[in-house]
Amino acid sequence: MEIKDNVIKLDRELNTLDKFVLDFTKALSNHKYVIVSGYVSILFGRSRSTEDIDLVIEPLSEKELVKLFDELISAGFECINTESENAYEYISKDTALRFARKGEVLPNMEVKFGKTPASIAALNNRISVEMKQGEIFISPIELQIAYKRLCLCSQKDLEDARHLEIIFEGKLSKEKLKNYEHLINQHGC
Amino acid sequence: MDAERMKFVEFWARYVKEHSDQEWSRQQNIVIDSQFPSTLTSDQFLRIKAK
Repeated sequence: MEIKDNVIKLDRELNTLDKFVLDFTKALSNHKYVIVSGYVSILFGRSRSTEDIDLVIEPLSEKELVKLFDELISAGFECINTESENAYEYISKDTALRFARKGEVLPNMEVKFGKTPASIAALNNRISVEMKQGEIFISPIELQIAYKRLCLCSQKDLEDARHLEIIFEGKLSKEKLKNYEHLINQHGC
Repeated sequence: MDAERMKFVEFWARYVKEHSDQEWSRQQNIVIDSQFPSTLTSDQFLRIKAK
């Protein structure tokens, strides 16, 4: 693993989750997105799995969302919790849209608009992970750690945060961590 | 908080740091890929998530 500025180069063997994330994010090529939460620590070796991956996209108009929905269908995915005509209502009311490969349920991508200060910060400060098979964008590691410790707080999340802290030891910015903690304390989760 | 579990998390994280990406990911993938494919239907999955 090589870490430099806002780019991480990762030479890992891909698993089912990685292939799903790479294929799904390729279908989002025209839209700004960021992967947050559990998958980020799993990508960097955390010894657990997940059945869904959390993805934040920049807010879209209804027309743009319907177009994206259709693009995802064409790319071989399907929404497992609603139809195209209800999608905008769902996502506008903060109910995530869940997309899986056609005919499958797991893994699935939980898609939300970036509306909270934390999710907007993740989008605006996303970092690139370059693998041989493609590139994905993830939340800043400092924000992941702060969010898991201050907002989520389950045993699993505290373990995720500790895993990231060790993996990125010496590469984390104390200033950024403090700023993200302040953002969460000021504006909530 | 489960201190024993956290000790393992720290042990494994250090292993990941000290070994090549290919090496640790091969081992991690045994855990991850064993979960798929799933026989859950979308209704079953959504009901579980709603709880």
